[in-house]
Amino acid sequence: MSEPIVFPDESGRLLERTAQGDKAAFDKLVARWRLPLFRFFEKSLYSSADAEELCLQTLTKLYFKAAQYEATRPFPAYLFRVARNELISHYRHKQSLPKTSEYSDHRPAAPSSNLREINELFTDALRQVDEINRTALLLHVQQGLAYEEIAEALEISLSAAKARIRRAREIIKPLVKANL
Amino acid sequence: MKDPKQNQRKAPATEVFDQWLREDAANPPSDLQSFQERLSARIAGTAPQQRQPERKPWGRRALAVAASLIFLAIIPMLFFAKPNPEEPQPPHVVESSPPLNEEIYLIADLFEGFDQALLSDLTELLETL
Repeated sequence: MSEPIVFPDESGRLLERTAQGDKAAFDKLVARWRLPLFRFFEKSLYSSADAEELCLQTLTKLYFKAAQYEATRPFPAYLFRVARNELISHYRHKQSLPKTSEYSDHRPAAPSSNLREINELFTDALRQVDEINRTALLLHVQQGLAYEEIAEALEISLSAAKARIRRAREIIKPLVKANL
Repeated sequence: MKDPKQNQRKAPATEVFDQWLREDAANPPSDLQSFQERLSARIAGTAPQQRQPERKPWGRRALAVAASLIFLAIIPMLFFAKPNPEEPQPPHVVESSPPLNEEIYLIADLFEGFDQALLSDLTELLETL
């Protein structure tokens, strides 16, 4: 006998079970979403250590906010809304700290010099983009979220979500093209 | 219409960049088991902190209620307060002003080429009024 179709998705169902006190469901959710979250934060922060810390913070928030999740909403949009709030808090905290250690110390290491150059070029280009435009682009390209999900995650309209992605590309494209 | 050659040149840069966005993290995170252990510890450590705000707001609530009461008491006083007739009122000060025709000449001085005939007509008109 086949499993009934779950709406909206398996992760949403797992979060509902988490809200009911099912710790095993939360562990499955962590196993499913830890790496996508980590990749999102790493590209946003240029720091693996900070990315892992924000993964912990986001998933902790998710655990305590599990009861607030509405099953009719797409889970990725809900997760990345929580993640973005953590990211913004992190940026605000960083702004109050000296900027010397933010970038150069934490830049991800690449094995060869050629790869490192490309990594630095793309990281620099991504840094030129405003947070909301960068997040929209990351959710679209890296996480594969639909425009509707991006709009919900960023709490903006559908057309605004498309415009944010387009704006990010407009900034990145000439920077990348000029140096590749 | 866009130049197809231009599109051909643009595509690779965008594709390479998108591929870079999608690729795995350069520095992989810690293994899942240790991550879950840290997360469980974080959750266990965060839970009591989250209960604290339930106790704290009583002070803030009391302050907010007091502020609201003061505000509600002040508002009617501002709107419905009448002046006490027994209190001496400040005397009205009437400032002396120059005659009207003088004002017209003063204004006329500001504008070069003001018609003198029109000016005198205006003065006469004002005097009759």
